[in-house]
Amino acid sequence: MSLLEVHGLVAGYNRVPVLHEIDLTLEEGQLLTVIGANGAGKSTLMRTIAGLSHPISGTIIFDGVDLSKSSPEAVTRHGIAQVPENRRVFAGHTVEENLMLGAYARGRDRKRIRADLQGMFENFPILHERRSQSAGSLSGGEQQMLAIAMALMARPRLLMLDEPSLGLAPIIVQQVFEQIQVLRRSGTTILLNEQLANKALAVADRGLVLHLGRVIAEGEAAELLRDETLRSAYLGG
Amino acid sequence: MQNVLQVIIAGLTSGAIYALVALSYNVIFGASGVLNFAQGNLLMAGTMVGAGLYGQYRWPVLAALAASVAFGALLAAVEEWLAVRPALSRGQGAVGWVVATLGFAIVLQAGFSIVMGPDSRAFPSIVNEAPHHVGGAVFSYEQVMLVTVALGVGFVLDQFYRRTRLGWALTAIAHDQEAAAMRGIPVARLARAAFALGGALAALSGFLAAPLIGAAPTLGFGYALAGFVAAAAGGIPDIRGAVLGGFAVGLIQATGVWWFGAQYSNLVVFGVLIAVLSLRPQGLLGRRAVRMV
Amino acid sequence: MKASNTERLTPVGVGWRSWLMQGVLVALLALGPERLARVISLVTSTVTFPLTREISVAGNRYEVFNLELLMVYLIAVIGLNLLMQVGLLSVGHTAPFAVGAYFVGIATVKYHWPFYGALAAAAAVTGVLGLALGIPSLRLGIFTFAMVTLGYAMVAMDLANGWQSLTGGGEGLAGVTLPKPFDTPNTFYWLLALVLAATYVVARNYIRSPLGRAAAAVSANPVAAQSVGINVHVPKLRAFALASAFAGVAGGLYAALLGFIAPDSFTLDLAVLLVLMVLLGGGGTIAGPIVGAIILFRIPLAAAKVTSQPGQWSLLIYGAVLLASVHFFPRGIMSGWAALRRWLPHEKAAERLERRRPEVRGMLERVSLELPSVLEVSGISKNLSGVQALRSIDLSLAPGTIHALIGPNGSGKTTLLNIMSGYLEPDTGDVRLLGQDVRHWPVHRRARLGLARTFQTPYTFEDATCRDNVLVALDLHRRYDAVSNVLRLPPAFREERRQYKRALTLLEAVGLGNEFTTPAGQLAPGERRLLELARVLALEPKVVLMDEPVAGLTSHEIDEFEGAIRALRDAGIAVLLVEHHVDFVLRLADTVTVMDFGKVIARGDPEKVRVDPAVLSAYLGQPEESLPDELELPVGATAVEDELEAPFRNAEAPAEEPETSSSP
Repeated sequence: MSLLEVHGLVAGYNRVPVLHEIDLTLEEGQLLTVIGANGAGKSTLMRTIAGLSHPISGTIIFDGVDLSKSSPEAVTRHGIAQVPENRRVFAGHTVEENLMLGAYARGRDRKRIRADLQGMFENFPILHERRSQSAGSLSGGEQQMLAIAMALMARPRLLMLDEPSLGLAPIIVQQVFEQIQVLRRSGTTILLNEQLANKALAVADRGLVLHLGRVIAEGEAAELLRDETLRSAYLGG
Repeated sequence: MQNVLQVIIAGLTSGAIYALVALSYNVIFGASGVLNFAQGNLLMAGTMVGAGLYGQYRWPVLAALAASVAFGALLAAVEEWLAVRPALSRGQGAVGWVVATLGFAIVLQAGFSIVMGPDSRAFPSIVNEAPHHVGGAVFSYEQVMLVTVALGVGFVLDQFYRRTRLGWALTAIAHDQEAAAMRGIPVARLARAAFALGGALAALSGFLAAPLIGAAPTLGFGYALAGFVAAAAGGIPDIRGAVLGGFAVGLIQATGVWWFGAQYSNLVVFGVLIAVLSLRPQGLLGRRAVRMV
Repeated sequence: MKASNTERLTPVGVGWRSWLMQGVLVALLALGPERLARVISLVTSTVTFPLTREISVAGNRYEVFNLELLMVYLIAVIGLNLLMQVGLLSVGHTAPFAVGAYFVGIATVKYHWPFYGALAAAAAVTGVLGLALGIPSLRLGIFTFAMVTLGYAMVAMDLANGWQSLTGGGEGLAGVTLPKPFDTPNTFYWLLALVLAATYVVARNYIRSPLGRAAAAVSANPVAAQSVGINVHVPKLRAFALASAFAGVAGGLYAALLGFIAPDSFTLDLAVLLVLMVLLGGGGTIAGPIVGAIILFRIPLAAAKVTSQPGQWSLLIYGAVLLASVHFFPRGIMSGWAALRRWLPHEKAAERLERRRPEVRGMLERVSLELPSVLEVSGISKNLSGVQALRSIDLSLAPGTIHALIGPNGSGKTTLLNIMSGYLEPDTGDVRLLGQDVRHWPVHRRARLGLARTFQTPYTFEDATCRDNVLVALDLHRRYDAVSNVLRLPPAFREERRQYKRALTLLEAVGLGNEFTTPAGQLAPGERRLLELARVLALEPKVVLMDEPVAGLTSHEIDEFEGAIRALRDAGIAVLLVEHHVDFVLRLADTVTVMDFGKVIARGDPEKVRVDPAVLSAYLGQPEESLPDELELPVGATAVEDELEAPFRNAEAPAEEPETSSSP
C-alpha cells in the first residue's frame, strides 16, 4: 500500500474548483515532484493535503487513514510535515525557538526533542551559528533551511515542500536542492511542489505535471525531463 | 486637599486595574485576533460574584477569589463557544465578532442586574483598609496589593510568553495563524484556552479591585473602554506595553481629574485614545497599528 | 423571470412596487395618531401575546405617546442606517441625539429661539459635529471605531452632567414646549409624520443615488472602489455627517415631545436599541429598520406587564438578539428576505453560457492619443519586508498595443502592477500617466485620469446587482451634483435613466445583458470576470492593467476574453496583461516583457521571447547534469544574492538543447 493515495480530488476555494479529479500515489521513500506553471493548482493540492482547506470531493488516504476532513494539526500529528511556500518562519522568535515549535505536535517528549535539536544543528551548521538570532533576521536561503529543519523536527513520515526555490537567488536554489538531495538519500518520503521543472526532476524519482488543474503527464522523472509536453505546458506552441 | 503624591497614588491604583484589563485584552487578541467587547463586563462579573460570595455569604477570601476567577474563565469560554466561534466561522469579518461580543457584554450586564439586583454593593476589604500616611498623602494596603498584583501578573505573563513553549506557540499564532497551524499547533484549542485565561484575569482584577471600586452591574463598559485605551497606548498585543499603558492611562486620568474635576475623567481617557490613534497608532511598544482592528 | 427592457431601464424607486410600498406607508401615516396607535398596538400585542396573554387595541394617550416616541427614534435610526450601510458600526448614536435635544432645549428655553429655527440649527450643528468627529475615525477598524463611538457617548453624558450652568446637570432641563401649530400631543404627531416622511425620502434617494452606490461600494470592497475612482474617505464622512444631522433633528423633536431632558434619557440602553433596530432590519434597506424598530420598541412595554424590572429584561433580550443575529441573520431580517429569494431556483450558469455572445467591439469610442506612451515607469525599485522585489524596472505602454508581462512566481509582476496602479509606492523611480507625474497619486486619482485595472480574483461588489456594479464606474463621469441627485430633480433623474441605458448596453456587450438585476455574488467566476470587464469599459480608460484575467476560466470563456482584449486594443487603449497562461499571452501580445527575480530579463517580440534560453531557464530552472552521489553539505555558505545572473547562467552547458518546438 502506498504511503499517500489521492483519488479523484476536486478542490479549490469558495467552492470554485481549481483542481479537477486529481489522482496521485506516493510510495514510501520516494520523492514525487509536482510541477506546473503557477495557477496550475500545485499550491491548492498541497494546501488541501495539509488540511488547510477541505476538498470539494475525492479522498486523501495517508498510511491507510482518511485525512480528507482533518485539521492541519491532525494532519501533522499523523506524520505529514510541511515546508510552506515563502518559508513562513516565525520572525519574532529565535532560530532555536522556531525549531522547538516545529516539534510542537510531538508533545512533551523533551529528551528526544532536545536530541533532535542537536542533530539539526549538526546537519545545518548555519542554524547553529544563528541559533539565538531572530528568524526574521535570516537571509532567504537561511530561512529556507530553517523551515526545512522545522519540518524535520516533527519527525514526519512525509515531508511536503512547497516551492522551495521561490524568491531565492539561483546560487541559493542550488544549495537548497542539494539539501533536498541529501534528504532523499536518507530515505525521507518527499512531495515537492516546484516551478523550476528541470531542477525538480533532477532530484525526483517520479513526477506529475499539472496544467490548469489537471494532470497532463506523469511518470519517471528522467522520462519527463525529455518530454515535449512539459515545454507546451510552460511556454506554449 | 490634593497633593501630587495623592494624585500619583490614585493614578497608580486605577492604572493597575487598567493594566490588568489591558493584559486580558492582549491575551485573548494574541491567540484569536478578536478584541473582546465584553472584557469590562468580565471584570464586573468578578466584582459581583465576589460581592456575593465574599461580601454576602462570608466565604473565606481565597475560596471566594478562586470561585470568582473560575467563574470568569467559564463565562469567557462560553462566550468563545457561543459568540466568537460562530462569527469567525461564518466569515463575516470583524463585524461578526464585534456585534457578538457586544451582545454578550450586554447579556452579562443585564443578567447580573436581574439576578443580583441593579444596585451597587459594598465589598469588604481583602487585605486591610486602614489608611496609612506618607508625605501628606493617604493610601491603603488594598491599593498596594492591587499595584503589586498588576506588576506581578504582567511579569509572569511576560516570562510565560518569552520562555515557555506554550507561550511561543501563542505568540506564533498572533504572528501568522496559518503557519502555526501548519506546524501542528492546535490553533482552535489554544484560542479557546486564551479566552478562558483572559476571562480569569479579568475576574481576578475585578475581585481584587472591588474593595476600592465597589461592585455594580453597570461598571463594565467604563472599564472596557479604559482598558482598551491602555492596551492601545501600550501597543496591542504587547505584554509589557499593557502594563506600561495601564499605568500611563491611570496617571494621566488622575492628573486630569485633579485639574478639571471628576466629571471629566472619561473625557481625559478618551482624549488619550484619540491622541494614540492620531499620533502613534501602534502604541508605545506595539508592532501593528491598533486602528486596523 | 426576466423583466422587460423598459422595466429594467427604469431607475429603481419608480416602479410599481416602490409606489405601492410608499402608498402603504403614506396611508398608515395618514391614519392619524389614535388610529395608527391602535393598529400598532394590535399588531405588536399579537406578537407578544404568548408572553403577556393580552391583546390591546388602545389608542389612548399612553399609546399615542409611545407611537410618537417610536417615530422620533425612527428618524435617528434612519440616519444610523446610512452610517452602517457604509460599514461603520456606531454604539454611540445617542451622542448626536443628545446634542440635538440639548441644543433645542437650551435654545428655546434659555434663549427664546423659535422652535423651527432651533431645530434647523440643531441639524446643522450636529451635522458639522459629525463631520468633525468623523475625520479622526476614518482609518479605524470596526472594533476601534465602535469603541470610539462608545467614548463619544460617554463623554457626551459626562458633559451633560458636568456643565451644570448650561445643561442643568443631573437635574436636567425642563420647560420645552410643543411648537405651534402642533402644540397638542395629537397634533404634534403630524409634525413628526412630516419629518419622518421627509427623512425617509431623503435617505431612500441617497441610497439609490450615485452617492449611495459609492458608499455601498466602499463598504463592500474598498480596493475595487478605489479602482473605479472613489475616494474611500468621502462616503464615510458624508454618512457620518448625515447620520448625525438626522439624530440631531430627532433629538430636538424628542425634547419637545418630553418637554424635559436629562442625561438619564441618553443611556447605553438606548444606543444599543438604535443599533439593534438597524441590525435587525438589515443595513442596506430602509424598510428593514422600520420593521425591526417596531418590534423591538414594544419589548419593554410588554415586559413591563410581566416583570418588575422591565428595563433589565429588555436589555437582556436586546443582548440576546444581538448574539443570535450573528447566528441567524448576519445581515439583518430584510436581507434574510433577499437571501431567501436567492434559494429559489434560478438559472444555472452553464445554461447562460449557451446564450452569450459578447460583442465588445462596438462599445468603445476610439481613443486617440498623441502620446508615444500612455503609461511609463522608469527606474522602479521596491523592497518589501526585507526582500528586494523590484530592481530598477523600466516599462512603457504605447496606445493601441497589448503588452504582456510574464515571469515565474515571485518575479515581482504583481508588485509592479500595484505600483503602476497606485496601491504601492515605489522606493525609487518614476511613474508617468498620460505625461503626468503620478508617483504619489492615490489609486482613485489615477483611475479618474484613465487608468483601469482588474484583479487576480475578480473584484466585484457581491451584494450589488450587475447593473449597480457597472453604474458605480459610470458615475465617474456623472454631470449632476449631489444635491440634485438626492432631491431627484428632473435633470438628474433623466441622467440616471441614461446611465441605466448605458449600463445595460455595456453588460450586453460583454454578454451579461440578461444578468442586469442579478446580484454579482451569484455569478460564476467567468461571468464575474466579464462583469469586471464591463466595469473597466464603463470607465472609458486610456490604459487597462489586467492581472491574470483568464485564470480559472474554461477554454470557451478564454476565447471570449481574447476577443474582448483585442477590441480594447483596437480602440486605441494600451493594455498590460500579466499572465501565467503563457500560451494565451504569447498569441495575443504585440510585445512581451519577461521578469525574473525583480529584474527584466527579456523583452520584445513574442516569438523571440518564447525561445530565449534565459526565459526558459527562468521558468524551468537551469538544466541539470546529474548531481554527484557524495555531497558535502555546503549549506553554511553565506548568501550572495545581489549580482549573480550573468556568471551563473553561463556556467554550465545544458546536457540537452531545449528544442524549438514546432507548433501544430
